[in-house]
Parts: sequence; C-alpha cells; structure tokens
Amino acid sequence: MKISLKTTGIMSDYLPADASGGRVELELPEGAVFAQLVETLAIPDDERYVVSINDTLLPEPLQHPLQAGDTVIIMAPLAAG
Amino acid sequence: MAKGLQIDPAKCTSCLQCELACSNHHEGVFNPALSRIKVFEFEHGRRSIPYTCTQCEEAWCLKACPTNAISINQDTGAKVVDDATCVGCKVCTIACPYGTINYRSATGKVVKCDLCSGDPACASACPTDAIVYA
Amino acid sequence: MAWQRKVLRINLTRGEIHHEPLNMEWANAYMGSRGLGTKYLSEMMDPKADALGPDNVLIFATGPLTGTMSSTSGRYSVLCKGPLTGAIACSNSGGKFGAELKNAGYDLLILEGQSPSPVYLNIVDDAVSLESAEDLWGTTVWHTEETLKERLGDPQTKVASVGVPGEQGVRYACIVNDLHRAAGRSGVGAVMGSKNVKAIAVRGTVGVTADDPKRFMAVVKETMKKLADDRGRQGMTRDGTNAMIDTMHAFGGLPTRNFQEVQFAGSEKINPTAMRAKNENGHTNLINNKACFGCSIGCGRVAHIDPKHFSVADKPQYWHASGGLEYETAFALGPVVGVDDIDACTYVGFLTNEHSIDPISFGVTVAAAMEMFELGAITLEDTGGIDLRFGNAEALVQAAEVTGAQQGFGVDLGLGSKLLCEKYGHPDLFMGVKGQEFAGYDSRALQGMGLGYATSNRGACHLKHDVFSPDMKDQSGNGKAEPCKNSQDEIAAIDSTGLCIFTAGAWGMDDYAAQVDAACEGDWPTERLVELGERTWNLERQFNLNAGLTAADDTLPKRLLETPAPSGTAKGRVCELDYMLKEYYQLRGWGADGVPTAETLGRLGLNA
Repeated sequence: MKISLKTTGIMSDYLPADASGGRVELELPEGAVFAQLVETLAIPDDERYVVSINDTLLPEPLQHPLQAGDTVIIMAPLAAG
Repeated sequence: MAKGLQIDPAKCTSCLQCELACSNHHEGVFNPALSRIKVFEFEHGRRSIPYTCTQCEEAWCLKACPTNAISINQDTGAKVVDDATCVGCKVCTIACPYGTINYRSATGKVVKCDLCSGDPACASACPTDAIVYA
Repeated sequence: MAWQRKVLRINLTRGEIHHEPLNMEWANAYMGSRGLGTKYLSEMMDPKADALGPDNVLIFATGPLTGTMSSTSGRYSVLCKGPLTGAIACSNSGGKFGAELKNAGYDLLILEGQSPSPVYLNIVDDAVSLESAEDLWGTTVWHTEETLKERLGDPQTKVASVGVPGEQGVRYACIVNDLHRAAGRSGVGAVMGSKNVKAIAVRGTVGVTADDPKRFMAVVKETMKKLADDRGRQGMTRDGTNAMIDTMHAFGGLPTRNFQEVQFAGSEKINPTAMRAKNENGHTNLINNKACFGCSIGCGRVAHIDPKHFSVADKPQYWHASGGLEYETAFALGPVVGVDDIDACTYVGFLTNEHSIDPISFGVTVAAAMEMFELGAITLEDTGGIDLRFGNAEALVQAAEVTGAQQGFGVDLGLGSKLLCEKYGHPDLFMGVKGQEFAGYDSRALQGMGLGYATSNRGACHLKHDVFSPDMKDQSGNGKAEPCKNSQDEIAAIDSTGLCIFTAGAWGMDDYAAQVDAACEGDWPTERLVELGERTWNLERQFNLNAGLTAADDTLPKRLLETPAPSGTAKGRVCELDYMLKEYYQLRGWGADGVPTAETLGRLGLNA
C-alpha cells in the first residue's frame, strides 16, 4: 500500500534520497504499523519527534496501524524561537 | 611539513569562541581585546574571517628583531616571542607585512600567535571547524 | 570574577555619570541580567510612572556568564516599564553588544531621567561621556551604527541604537545592536528615544574571569559537547529557527491572516528550503549562518534580497547582505499577513532592523489592519492608498516603509494592534495580551502556550515559558499549568545567567548551575537557581500589580477562547484558559485575584 510521508525540520534527515520538499510517497506492506515505517526510515530509538496521521496527533504512534492513502507527518519537536 | 592553522572563512559564524579561547589560554581572562586571533566581519556578516599569524617562512619579525627575542619552535614551526628578551622596540611590528605581531602598551612587549605549543586553543574551541590545526 | 561588581549610572537630566559598586546582596538574590535588572528597576522607579516620561528607568543588564566562554554567552537584558503594555518590559538581545558592555567592566548600565537634547553615550572601559547626537537624530540604526564606528575610530566598537520609530514613540520600537540583533519587544526602543538617547557605543577591553577557571573550562567543554550532540540544536544550526514554520504549519498552530486560520499553504515559499533554493533569476536568499557572541549553535541567518525583486529593484542600497529570516520574522511578515513572498519578507525584515521596530508586533499590527481593511473599517483613504489586503506583498512593503519613516498611515500602525483596533472600532481583532501582540504560535493548538501568553509578565510572549513538549503530546489544557509555571521560573533563571534560552532542551538546570557555580563566588546549586527564577517572576508580577494591572489582564482574545481552530491537529479546539489559569494561580501560591499571598512572598524573601 502507498502512504504519503512528510517530515519537518531535522527529521528530513531520514527521508529517502528521492524525496523532494520534505515529502515522499512510500510503499509499505498491507497492515503495516507505524513502527515499520520507523524501521524503513532507520530512525534511531532515541530520536524525538511528533507524529500526526491524517491530521490526528498520535502521542504513542508506534503500534498505530497504517492504511493506504494515509498522510503521515513526522515533525521535529519545537524549541523556543 | 609542520602543521598549521587551516582557516575556512565559509564556515566561520563570527561567534568569537576562538578569541575567547586565545585570551583565556595566554592571559587567563576572557577578553577578545587580548586575543592573538581576530575575526573580521564584512557586510553585515556576509563573510567572517578569522585572521592570525601564518607562521610564514620568511619570518620577517624574527629577522627584524634586534635582540633576537623571536625564535622558531622546532616542534611546531611557530615563531615565538621570548618575553624576557623582548625590549618592546616594535621593529617586528613594522617588519611584519600581515600585521599579526602587535605591541601591548600594558606590558611593553609584543605578542603573536605561538600555536599554543602545538595544541592551539582557538582550533579546539571552534564549533564549526572553521579553524582546524592540521 | 564573573561579576564586574560595577554599575554605570547615568543621570540624563543632569548629564551626570556615576560609577558605583554592584549591590552584591541583590546579585546574590537575583544573579544578573533579567533578575538583577528587575530588582534594580523595582527599587528605582514607581511602576505607575509614564513609560515615555523622565521617571521611567532604562537598564541594560548583563549576567555573570555574559562575556565568558560558556556557549551563548552574548546575551543581555533591557528592562524598563514598557510603553506597549504598561507592564514591566524585559527584552533580551544577543549579538556582541552585551559582551562588549561586560568587557568594558560593567554588570549594569542604568539610564535615568531625560536628556534635554539628543545624545549618544560613548563608553570605552572607564572613560564614559555623553556626546551630542543632533546630527544623528532622524537617521536610521544602520546609518547611526556606521557613522559612530567611523567617528570613534575603532571598528571594534559595538553600538546599540534606535531609528526614527524609537525617537517618535512607536509603542513597539526596539533597540537594535550589531545591525540586526534586537532587544525586540514591548517598546524598549521608544523608552530610549523618549530619553533623547540615540545610541550607546561601547568598547570594552577589561575582560571577564571565572572564580574557578579550571573547573569552569571543564564544565564549558562538557556543556558545549551536549549542545553539539543535541538533535534540536543541530536543527537550529542547520535550518535556523525558521525550521519551525514547517512544523507549525503541519501541526496546525501557525497563526494565519490575523489568527483567522492556523495553517498557511504559502509557508513552503518562505521556509528554510525556500531560503536555500535558487529562484527563477538564479538568486539564492540565504548566504550563511551567523552566531551571536560565544554561541556554538549559530541559529542566525545572513541573507540578501533578489535585486530584481520589486521591493528593491530601484534601491541598490538594499542589495547587500543582512540579517535573514528567523521563525518569528517569517511568521509575522508571512502567514499572519498572508504573504508568501520570500524577498518581500526579507526586505521588510531588513527594514524592521534598520528602523528599530519589532517585527512581531509590526506584523501582527498590520494583520489586524488588513482584517479591518477587508471589513471596510479601514479605507484606502485612511491608508493613504495602500491596498491592505491579506497576502498583498506590496502593501506589506509600503506599510513597513511608512512605519519606519513614521509618515502617513505608518503613524497609525505605530500605535500597535490594540490601540489601532480600538481606534477603528474593532477591539476584538487585537491579537495579543496586555497590549502586546502574539508570537507565531496559536493557543488553540498549543494550550500551554496559551497559558504562558496570558500570564507572561511582559504581555504576550513565547519566550518566557517552554511547554512545547507537553503541548505536542496532548492538545487539552490538562496538566499544562505545572510545566508552564515551572518553565517560567527556570527560564527566568536562565535569562538571569546571561546565557541564551535556546540552549534549554539540550541543557537541564543542573548544566546552568554547574556553569554559574564554577564562574561565580559562592555556592550555586540548582535549587538556588530555580528559586531565584521564581523570585524574579514574582517580583515582575509585583511590578505589574503596582503599575495597576490585575488578574483581568491575564486573558486571551475572544477569537482564541471562543472560535475553534478551523483545521490541523487541533481542529475544533479553543484555548481552555479558564481552568488552566485557576490551577496556575494555585501552583504559584497566588490568590484567586492573581496576587501573590503573603506566605508566597515570605518564602521567596520578597516584601508585600
């Protein structure tokens, strides 16, 4: 299934090389959960980030099941500025 | 070839950590005014350039010194001022085409970069690798 | 000694210059910068005094770590009563000016009274003089800084000055140092202008020392490494603070078109990627990164405007490099006015520095004007022909030019959003607190931010608390009062060290305490720092209460309390201020009337 992935800030470090403008379409196996996306992107366990899927904030995203057509945004955490 | 301070202005953010480190190492105080390396900033920060003695082969300062107060450190190649011998005549400051050996009225002596005996404090302090000792 | 133990006090009315010892009893209770400046201010002036009159006191305060080798050691605070808010103003700036003042041998510079004619202050270590600034009056910050450096003959001179808006009492005029760093908020520049002080030039060669140099350098090395290893700081180095524009847009907390919306599609045209991209003319906005004194992060940007852009095509004097977009500048000259033109934003950013106006307050004021223009409450006749529709980059540029010059509709825009909205009959369209405009975060998406805005002692401000982490985990107001209160106290302490709060996140309070303890005489455990922060917060509160503010001022505009966020992750939410505020007062040890109880004051060593 295809999902649409977007990152902000320094989280763009983990995007595949073919991403542009912080965005990429990704192919994941049916029934994949968010943790599989983390693995695909090789995001280290100690990285801090915030996840929204289809504009819903997910405080504990790892086991969240993904569906075809989902828009996943992985945001760099904010700091004052 | 002896190691030297490799300076890449494109990486310099003008934070002055090098000046702080230099004054701290040599004078025991955080005081950019006493630093032997100086960052020059151009056009609202378009370019910032750290500038200090290149330890040039010609060694104009050394050749000009009438009291032989300047010698070459055999380990680092740095041209080093011996405070006890320097009489503060300033001939070296005229001889140096780069302006990187300077007279201090407070001490009556000249000062210049001595590469901190092989472990330059400015290079260690630089957070962006704009100054590298290599 | 991390403190210079010296205060420079200038009575402008009488033209008298005094050197006096620093009150070490106060330094031990308030450390430096924000805390110590607040103490001096509270002792020296009646909070009811006219902010633009001679009885206001203007204090430039460095911290014990200012000018040392600690990373981000270039900060100083400006304190006075703020003309925008009628509350205490505490505005923090970086660049190199603060460290230079410290290097000249001073912890604090205090300006009292009012000079009978325009002057600038010239400080070279112990040698201090007031000089005529008649020829500089009416000129810009950039002209003043350049002229003074030439006149004084030392290119290492640092200058803090105001432009015409500062001279003419624009309520959000700032003080700009080093061309593009600013004590930006609450109108501290108007206070400097009201005192007839055009500029302060300083050259310092005294230096700063640490109490325990060896331990201090070990702590500096360790804390510097923590910053370098921290992902958040790496992001700031790479993208600058403007990285947040993408996060806030994605999150749905990016105030757009005077807070009518919370996401701005055009943000991608002014984000860090756009700053690095080549445009159709082959021009790239971003030139390089720029750090403040001693800073190993370097979040500042240097940029230039495409010479072919309409804003500068016939103005080659603006083709040079200068301070580029930061997040707040990008927000206030972008989404909140609906503009997505990176060159226009950069140009107006230049103008805010050149003319000494706070880009946040300016942009949010223009946003309110645009909303009233679209409603028909402000007309083309009022604006002098400026077509103030949202998204009109040319109108934004014109608005900045007339505000900088204080001509035409620029005089109205100089009132700030609150008075402007009252003048044109729409007081509800003022987006701010206590007269000061919001920064670039929407309180419906970030509830703790909303509480922080409502309770900030200098009016709406995003820099006096840090609830980002809890806010991005849970979008209700539950459990936000405690992190808001605690972070307010911690930030008050960090601000009082002389370091930059952009280190928070990578550093815990222990890291600040370790640096202060090694640099300063005496013992400075973490608890002492945090208590000092809480003491400072309460002293600021007391200043405001004595100035006539009440709990009724701790509120937010109706739009945020009643109109739900139209999109984003917080779609449908309003700011749940009511219960957060009650819980907050309790945690603070304040009564329901927002007044610190006698017990709280006693615990903190404050007088009732």
